[in-house]
Amino acid sequence: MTAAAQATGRPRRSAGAFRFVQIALLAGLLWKVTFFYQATQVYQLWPLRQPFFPDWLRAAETFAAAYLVAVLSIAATIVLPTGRLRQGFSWLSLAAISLLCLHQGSYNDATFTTAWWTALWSAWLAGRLTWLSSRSAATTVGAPPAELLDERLYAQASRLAAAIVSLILLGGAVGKWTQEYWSGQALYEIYFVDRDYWLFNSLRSSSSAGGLRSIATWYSRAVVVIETACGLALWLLPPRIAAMIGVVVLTSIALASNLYLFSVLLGPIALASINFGARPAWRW
Amino acid sequence: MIQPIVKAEPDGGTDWTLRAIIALLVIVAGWLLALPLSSHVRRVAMDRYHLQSGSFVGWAIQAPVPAMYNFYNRYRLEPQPWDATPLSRPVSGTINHFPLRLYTFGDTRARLLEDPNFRMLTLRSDYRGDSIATRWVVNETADGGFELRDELLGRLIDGEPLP
Repeated sequence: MTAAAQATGRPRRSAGAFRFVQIALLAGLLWKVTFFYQATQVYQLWPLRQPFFPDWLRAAETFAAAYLVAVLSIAATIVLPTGRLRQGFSWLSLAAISLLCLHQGSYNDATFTTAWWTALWSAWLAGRLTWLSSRSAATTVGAPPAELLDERLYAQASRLAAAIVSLILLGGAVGKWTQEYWSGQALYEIYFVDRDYWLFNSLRSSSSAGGLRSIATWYSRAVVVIETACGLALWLLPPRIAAMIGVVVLTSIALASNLYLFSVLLGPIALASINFGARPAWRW
Repeated sequence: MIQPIVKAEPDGGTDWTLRAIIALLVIVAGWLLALPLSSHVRRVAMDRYHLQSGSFVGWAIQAPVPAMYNFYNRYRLEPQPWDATPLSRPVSGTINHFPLRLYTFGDTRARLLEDPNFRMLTLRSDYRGDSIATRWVVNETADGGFELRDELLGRLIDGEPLP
């Protein structure tokens, strides 16, 4: 391929990673769509005055509108071609998710915290893709070929994604650096006592009371150690190893505790996954 | 076709958005790592969980800080004293995060607000010897709605009770 042909190439790999993450982000937000629909009805029928929140951040209409705008704008980023319009929708989705992080009826849901970081990554990448694409449409004198810039952008995107996944896991880990998690008491009471989920139902039916408590201790310690290790070191690992560990750990968290957690974890799983396509030689 | 000729920016120019995101990551990671070390950070983070931050803005800027399953959070639901009967039984338990969500989030809001047996909620979060406890009461309003009021029962940071 000549240099001129390379210069007019499109950033295919980075654009593919962008779309992949958008699909996962959308799937994460839709994972509990029935729950959110019912929640909107509850917020309409049982409005709850609370001086801490501004009125508009308690309104059911704000919650519903922000959720709809987030879903539709992410959907738009999937179907639209690279360009300023898609970049605008990407920032719009970040704004809508920001509202959901602050609304009385959704601030507590980690779905929106991880979606916020994923949307922030997406808005940045949408901008870089727009820049790279417009640059590729011109004949640029003295610049690296487009394929090289695409590789560089992919490397940046995958390392940033790994750093975000690390941060999310670190956030879960530090709050568990306390005796009640190391002893297993907290997760024993949350999950093992009466949570209706296949793993805990199975353990309750097959273990004595003392055995169940002991399993809870080792389950909890495993969670603390794995989240801590990944939170501190995942972003430092070679990309493909980081991708493998990230995907396995994040998927395991949902499978071993609560399938609803896929709403929280699909975005981070996608962010971790794009490191499978990164080439180890590239740096920031 | 004539294509425009532009002068190359060797590496695409300075990517200020990327730099800002990396700066945010570093700040948030630093904040998280300071949690077990700094009594100030612990107080702010525990106040965040109980919506006791000094201002809404002070609470809101912490939204990007991931805090899933942080602290040991226990609750007790019961009727307000004047609604209690000899048959009233408090319900207590442990919850993963942001414990006030029992009243605010999803369908539990409807179940708890409608039942006078659950209109008082006492919450306590513990972390490395520190703790915060708050009490929340639900009252019906004249227009048929509900209002939530809170009271800070106490904070214990570094072994010292704080106002």
